[in-house]
Amino acid sequence: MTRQRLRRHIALVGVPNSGKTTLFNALTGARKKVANYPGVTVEPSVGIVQHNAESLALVDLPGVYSLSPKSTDEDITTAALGGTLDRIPPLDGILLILDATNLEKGLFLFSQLASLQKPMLIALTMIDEIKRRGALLDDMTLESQLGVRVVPIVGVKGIGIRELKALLFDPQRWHVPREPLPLDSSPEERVSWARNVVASVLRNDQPDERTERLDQILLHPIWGFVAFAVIMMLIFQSIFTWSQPLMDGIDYAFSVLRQKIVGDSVAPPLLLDFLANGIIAGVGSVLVFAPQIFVLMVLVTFLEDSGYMARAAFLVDRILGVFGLQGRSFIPLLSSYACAIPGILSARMIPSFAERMATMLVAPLMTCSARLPVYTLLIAAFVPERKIGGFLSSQALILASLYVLAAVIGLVIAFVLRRTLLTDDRTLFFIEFPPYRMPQWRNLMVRATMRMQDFVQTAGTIILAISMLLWALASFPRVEPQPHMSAEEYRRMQLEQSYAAQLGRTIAPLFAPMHFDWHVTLGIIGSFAAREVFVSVMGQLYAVGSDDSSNSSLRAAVQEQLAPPVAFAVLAFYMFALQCMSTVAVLRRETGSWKWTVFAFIYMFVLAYIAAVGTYNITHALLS
Amino acid sequence: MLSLDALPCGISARVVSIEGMPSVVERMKELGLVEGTIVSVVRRSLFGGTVQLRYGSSTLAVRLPDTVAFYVESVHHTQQVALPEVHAA
Repeated sequence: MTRQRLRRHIALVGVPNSGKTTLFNALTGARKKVANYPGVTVEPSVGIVQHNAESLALVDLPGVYSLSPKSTDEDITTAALGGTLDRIPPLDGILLILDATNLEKGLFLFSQLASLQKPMLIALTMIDEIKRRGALLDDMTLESQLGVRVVPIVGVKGIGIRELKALLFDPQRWHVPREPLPLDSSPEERVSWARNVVASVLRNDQPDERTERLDQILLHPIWGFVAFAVIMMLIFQSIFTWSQPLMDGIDYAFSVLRQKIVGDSVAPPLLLDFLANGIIAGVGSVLVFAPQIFVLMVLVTFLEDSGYMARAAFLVDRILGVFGLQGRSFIPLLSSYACAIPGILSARMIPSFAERMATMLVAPLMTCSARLPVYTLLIAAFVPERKIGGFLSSQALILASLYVLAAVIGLVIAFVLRRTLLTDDRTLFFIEFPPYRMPQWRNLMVRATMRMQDFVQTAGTIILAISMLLWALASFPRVEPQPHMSAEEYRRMQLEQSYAAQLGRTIAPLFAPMHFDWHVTLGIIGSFAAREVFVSVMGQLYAVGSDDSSNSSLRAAVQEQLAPPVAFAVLAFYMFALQCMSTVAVLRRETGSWKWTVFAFIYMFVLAYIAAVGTYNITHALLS
Repeated sequence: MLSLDALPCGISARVVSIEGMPSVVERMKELGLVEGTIVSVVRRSLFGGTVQLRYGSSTLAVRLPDTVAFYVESVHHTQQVALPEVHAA
């Protein structure tokens, strides 16, 4: 802790899309420990820059256009620079990134940063890109005009990084810039100053031709949407196909581990049982989602870094606008198809309160990956497999329709929210189009890894805690095994006489209208850790000793135990209910209010309840 | 004076005034869309409303007029008036 305080802390600041993350990774090294300060989770992250025997802390702040924040992530940057952000020590200097292709906006920011009167250093990025466009940039003149050192950085090869590093560790060569404009200058005066500077250092700047050509296709009224649909399909396809082997591997590894610990004994000692079925099962159910979140974050980061995400937001803005959302709602909703937690976090970029809130409140309705095992089990057990038109599987079709239906209902809920509870704000949609750029592989990996770690920390603690609590509820009071009892039979008996079962039986009357028995109710209680726990609870209750949703004996047991209308009602319930405590915790933090969090929980529960009762009655009438 | 959402695609015009929530107007100015800036609509989204603007070497998508309203005038009327240079050509 004391060593941390002795280090100089330097803020890394720049406008959005200025290549900040790339520079951060280049300076700190991808494998350096990147610590998230608690309380702000995703950002700012702090990396350590090493140089010879010295080190300093680089604080990566979210990109901003100015020091008057207009969204939550901009608040973080302004607070950190003003020294009012918890746990970020006073900053010793500012490393500003100026993007040569977007110089005017960067200089606007500089004119405000200069008023902070802190030592400053400038990294001038995208030099190669501006050269490719045929423009000439005079960095020496820029340096003399701004009064601080300007270090040109050339693209992927990282030319200039070494010089920048040397400067970082030489406080003598950091200068406090002279204020080009007084603190109370108007935006007009700042823009005018920035334009004059640009005019004196940049010659022959042209719009990027490659970007214009790509936009003609990707933003075309027809081809643009075709491309959009193809890209989205590819993303969904890759989330599942790329992460499936890893997820299966993790699943398998953890079940082997559990098997190793409890062995063949019918009634393992309490401590071993706790280790295997309380802790390891809990850790396993967190880690099994990590690959999917990683793949999703790689793809989302690819779309963001390439410049496409801003275009996608433009394409869907009017459509989402019909439902009271906006183009920037798109990333949170898309991410929520893997997990609502990164989805809700990425809503920070939405500047208007009502749109941000509506986006966060419907994000958990999107079909996250934890629902998939429940869907797979029930669909495989209750939807007869037929080929429709020779190639379409009836089961796949039902699954796909659940995914689409979730989005449609989410949009309808957003529509209702924006006309009832969240009317107090207007639409604020604007987004800058960066030039198209080839994302850097390392960047994608580093950012996806950080997001994945963040998920494991956020969701992990909660899932693990609930998993241990559920284990305790299911393991007490202790039951003695009868002679000649198999391990499965014993576990079933233990569970049936546990506090958990008593709890399930107590709550079951609440679910009487859709005929959920106490088994299903117990499954729903278990799902508060993570929805897929439903599958393993069923496995234990039906004594098949498997928590694999594609396991045929489990499928047969479920088929035997559940009436089809009940099974479909369970599906409907899982579509809507906000059972995931990790999501509840993230909602609480990001909305900053219990009121909205409780509201989200209740509205989704009511929706789930009505859907389950309706589904039960309709399928019951149809099938009898 | 013309509202920017009525400006045909590809025609350059000069921003005369910006109206909307003060914080949004301020953000537009911070992005360089100040009075006097020459701006053109590159394209509109399929259902209208959201437009892609070009000014200087910047490109911005914005939903008009819900987010903010820009009023513009033809570039040709007042060509004599000296403007802050955006970029040296």
